[in-house]
Amino acid sequence: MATPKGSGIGRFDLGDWRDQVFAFDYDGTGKLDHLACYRPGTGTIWILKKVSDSDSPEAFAAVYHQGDPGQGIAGYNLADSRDRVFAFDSGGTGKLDHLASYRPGTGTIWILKKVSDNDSPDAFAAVYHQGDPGSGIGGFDLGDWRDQVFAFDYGATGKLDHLVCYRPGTGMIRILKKVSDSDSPDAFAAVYHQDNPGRGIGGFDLSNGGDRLFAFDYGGTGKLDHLVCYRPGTGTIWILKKVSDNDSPDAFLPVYPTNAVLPVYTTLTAKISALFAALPDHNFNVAGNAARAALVNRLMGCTSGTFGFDARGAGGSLYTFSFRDQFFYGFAPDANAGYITPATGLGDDWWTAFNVVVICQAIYYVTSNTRNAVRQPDVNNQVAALNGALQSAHVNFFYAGVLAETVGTRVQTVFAQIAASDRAQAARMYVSLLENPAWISAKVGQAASGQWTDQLWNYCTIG
Amino acid sequence: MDSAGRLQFAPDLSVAQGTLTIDDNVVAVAADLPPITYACAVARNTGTYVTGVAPALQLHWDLTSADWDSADWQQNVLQFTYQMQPQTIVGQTFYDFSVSFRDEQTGATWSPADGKFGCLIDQNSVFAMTLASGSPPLDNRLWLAGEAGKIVTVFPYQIALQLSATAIDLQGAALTVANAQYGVTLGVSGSTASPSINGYYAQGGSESNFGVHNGTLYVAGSPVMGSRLVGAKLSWQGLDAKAQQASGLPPAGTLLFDTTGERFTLTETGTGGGRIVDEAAEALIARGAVWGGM
Repeated sequence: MATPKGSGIGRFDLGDWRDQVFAFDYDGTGKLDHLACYRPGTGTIWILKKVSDSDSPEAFAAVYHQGDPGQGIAGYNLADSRDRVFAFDSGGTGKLDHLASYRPGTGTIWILKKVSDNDSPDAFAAVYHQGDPGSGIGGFDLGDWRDQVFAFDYGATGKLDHLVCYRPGTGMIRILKKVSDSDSPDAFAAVYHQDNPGRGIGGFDLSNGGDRLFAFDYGGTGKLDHLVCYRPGTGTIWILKKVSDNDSPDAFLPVYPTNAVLPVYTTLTAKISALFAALPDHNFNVAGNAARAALVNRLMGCTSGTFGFDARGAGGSLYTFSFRDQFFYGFAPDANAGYITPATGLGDDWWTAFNVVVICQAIYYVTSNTRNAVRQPDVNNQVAALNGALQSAHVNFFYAGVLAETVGTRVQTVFAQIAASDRAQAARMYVSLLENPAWISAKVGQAASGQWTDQLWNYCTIG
Repeated sequence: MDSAGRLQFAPDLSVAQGTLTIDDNVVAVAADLPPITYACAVARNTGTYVTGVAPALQLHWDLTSADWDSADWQQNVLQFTYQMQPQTIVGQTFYDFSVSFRDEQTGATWSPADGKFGCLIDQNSVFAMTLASGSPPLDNRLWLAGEAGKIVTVFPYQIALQLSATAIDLQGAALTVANAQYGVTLGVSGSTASPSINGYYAQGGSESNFGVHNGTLYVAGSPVMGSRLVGAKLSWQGLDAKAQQASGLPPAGTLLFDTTGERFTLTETGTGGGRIVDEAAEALIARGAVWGGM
């Protein structure tokens, strides 16, 4: 069934094949509640606001419009059919209230800020601009017609305040961070870059002219902090996760598909070095989550005792139920839980005792009447003491094992490449590097500079 | 020889003090972070450049560029050393950087005075040093032949060096000649001693042995002055006949170790050897002690 021809929206007729539309936070409210509609090559751009819930083009009204032909916006004339515009968080405020306009092949890119509510081109002003021809931005020259740019949440901060610039077919890609407010190309600096020819990103080589990327919230965290890379016509689509801040292709790893080609480290030294750089993701620590889930599961699994009632006198049966099923209905052992006791030496008796005080603590905090039967602060003290005992029992050894085996972590990627016969030597090398004054001094220097921001994550080890 | 020791660390683990007892002699010792020295190759025309205006100049380099790869790199030109030194102010420990530079080809050295420079290691492990005032000393390299003589000076106004994840290697850029955009930028690539190259070693089939500790060659228990481990290369010179006999090494030479520190090759002869462990090490070290006493 063909889609019937329509009338566009808010008097923007969408009558030209070049027309583009995207969502925009015109009012700077943190809501993408306006539509920006533009027609590259004609100077036409309209920004529409919803004014009613009716199902008609008049439900939207223009708060800004330049007709066909028009003057574009803020001096950016939109006179070339290659022009592209998108919403960008240039201020790092968490709001997509700036517009980025660029013209592939010419070095032209402007970033526009709304300075008034007027319906005229000077309602927006350029906070960054490189004319035609220009020098691009942050070392990305925008000198090829294939060039693409979009906003990305590189830091997983919930802000689309970085720019991804790439050139399909060449492996070239840059992720740019704004480092100053100056109107010059070095106002943006690359936090990741591959020049032409380059190796792409996270194993996705960007070698095909049709390759496309966009930002995606893979983890369902509300952050567009993953990259989807796809190659139309080939069935290829990868989803990349940032696993380190390094400026190298293995700073990103595919979380989809899991059999994607991963970085290969040829020497044992390179593998150890990669392990050093493989810190967990602050915001999406899949190995940490897996280890925590297994520990909680082990605790739940040791719920002891049964209860029941005897209905035999009434012609029924003797019914018994386990407290575990009562408290944790549908309990099933976690695949990693079986490794906890071998790693920590803490057996069923210990976990059962821990379980009893944790349940008592829960009863104290969640019930109204029964809580009076729980002796406090004894229970809290016991929970704290047993948590301390768990840590003293080297629960980190268990975590290290989970870290090494959890797919989707950079540690697992590297660890899988260390042959079992090399692991003892790898562990010795890792420890010697960890104890090396060069590394210690670098970390002390980083701390003295106020720049060691991920200290708590630096406790990686080889299991 | 009986040895014992005791070290007491400060609460923040920044320094330690204590005593060592060697036979009947007791000496006071203090431990802190040692200086870290990187032996660096240097090159012009590596594609490095500088942007901004002093004092906010920013160095740029690109390890993936063709310029970086094809540059005429001069090996072992610059020795860059830094040390984190604790200072206690009102009961709290703070660390200060000290830095020094040595031009290995001219022998010129430079240690900027406290307060004359600023240092920082950022979150991405980029080591940056900026000279706050004054100029580096003269480093007359013009008499050097070839490409080496075209490098006017290796003493920088600024450096920005990316440390590797293990801090064994660094690569980056140095701004020389002038503290401005028109200054001369150099590519810098260096390494410090690999900690894996540590322990006792012997050439294949030889009963002689030697040790490597803290980046220095040891023969019969004594350090060989002037020996130096840079990355995976251990170089020395001036071994006398007795030391040659004890170690099985020539008077001067270079050992190239594998990355794990298990095997080595003597570059002058191509002969190889490896780490000695357990009983073999004890036996050979005992022999070394005898040699050492000769």
